Amino acid sequence: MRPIQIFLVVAGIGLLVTFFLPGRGAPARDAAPAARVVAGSPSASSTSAPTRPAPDRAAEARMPAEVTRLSDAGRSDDLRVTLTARLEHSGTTPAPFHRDVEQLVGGWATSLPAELGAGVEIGAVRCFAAGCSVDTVSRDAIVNEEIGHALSNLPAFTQYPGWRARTGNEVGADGRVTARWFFLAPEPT
Amino acid sequence: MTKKRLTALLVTALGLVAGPSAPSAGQRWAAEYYYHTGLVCQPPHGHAGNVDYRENGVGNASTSAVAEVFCPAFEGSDGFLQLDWIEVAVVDASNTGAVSCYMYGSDADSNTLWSPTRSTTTADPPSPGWWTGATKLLFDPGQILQGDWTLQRMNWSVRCYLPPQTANGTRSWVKQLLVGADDDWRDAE
Repeated sequence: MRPIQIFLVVAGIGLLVTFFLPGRGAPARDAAPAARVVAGSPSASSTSAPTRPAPDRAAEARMPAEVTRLSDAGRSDDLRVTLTARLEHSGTTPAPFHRDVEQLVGGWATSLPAELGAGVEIGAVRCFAAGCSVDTVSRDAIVNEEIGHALSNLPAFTQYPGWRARTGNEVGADGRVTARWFFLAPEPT
Repeated sequence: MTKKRLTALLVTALGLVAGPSAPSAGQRWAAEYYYHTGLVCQPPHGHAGNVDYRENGVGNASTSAVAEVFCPAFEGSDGFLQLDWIEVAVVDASNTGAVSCYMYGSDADSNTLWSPTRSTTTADPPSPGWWTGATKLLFDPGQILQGDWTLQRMNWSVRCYLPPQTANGTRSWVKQLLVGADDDWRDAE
């Protein structure tokens, strides 16, 4: 065989192998991704031949330690610890958004309905280069839920140009519930 | 090793390295893609009388009021599939208002995350293959879910605000949600 013939044959094999390998295909309206699967969601569109099998719990139990650790790191009760550490490690360099957050939180007390406002204490705002945080202490879990809903629906809150987070129910010995609110630095535009 | 064999090896290697169907510019990669119709969206109290459902999603039928809808996008689980991003296809028929949305995640412990609001006035450029006539609003929780930290049991949704219909009866819509997800544990191996 001549070199050009060998080149063409091998190139063809390479292309075939490439084409049939499962891959990271991007979505396209006219060319559906091979791995598109819908699981556990009656509202989602479905394919007739799902390629993903049901979770194999036994296999998960046999996974290497580092994989298990990665999985465990995703518990939602890590939210407060993870974000607090991220903020504290970012340093205390002042930023314009610090004032925005302080003004936003400063308006909370007067924005709440009187009966709700009486059931909550709003802590001091702590700001870092990566974001700010503030604790609210509610009389009980129900008040905590209502306050969470009320504060997160204030226009100043929904219009804040960065990610926000609120930790869930952290119940103290006296039954009061602490939530920590985070305001991350606005994303660059 | 002969020249022929070297050539064959090189060509095959190039074919493999090039990889299968890498994303085009403007398209986002994910291991799994989920498509949800806008019909999954639900109005909160006080907005049910304004929203209207058609084959292609949910719209605002009011001539004067902004309509709100909550659209479930991705269900949390104990598995390894994690949300990567959400793209919302909206139609903005308004000359004076805009369609705006934010994504949020919440779990049973009341941990909650909120994204910055995206609007059709500052929309993301459409990807190749994007739906004709629809505007893309992209939400990427990468800033808050940095590194290997993820929230497995968090349910992700989108809240959208639809401007009133125009004088000639054209309506603004949420047509579809496209969700990208990934298997973190695969990457950890």
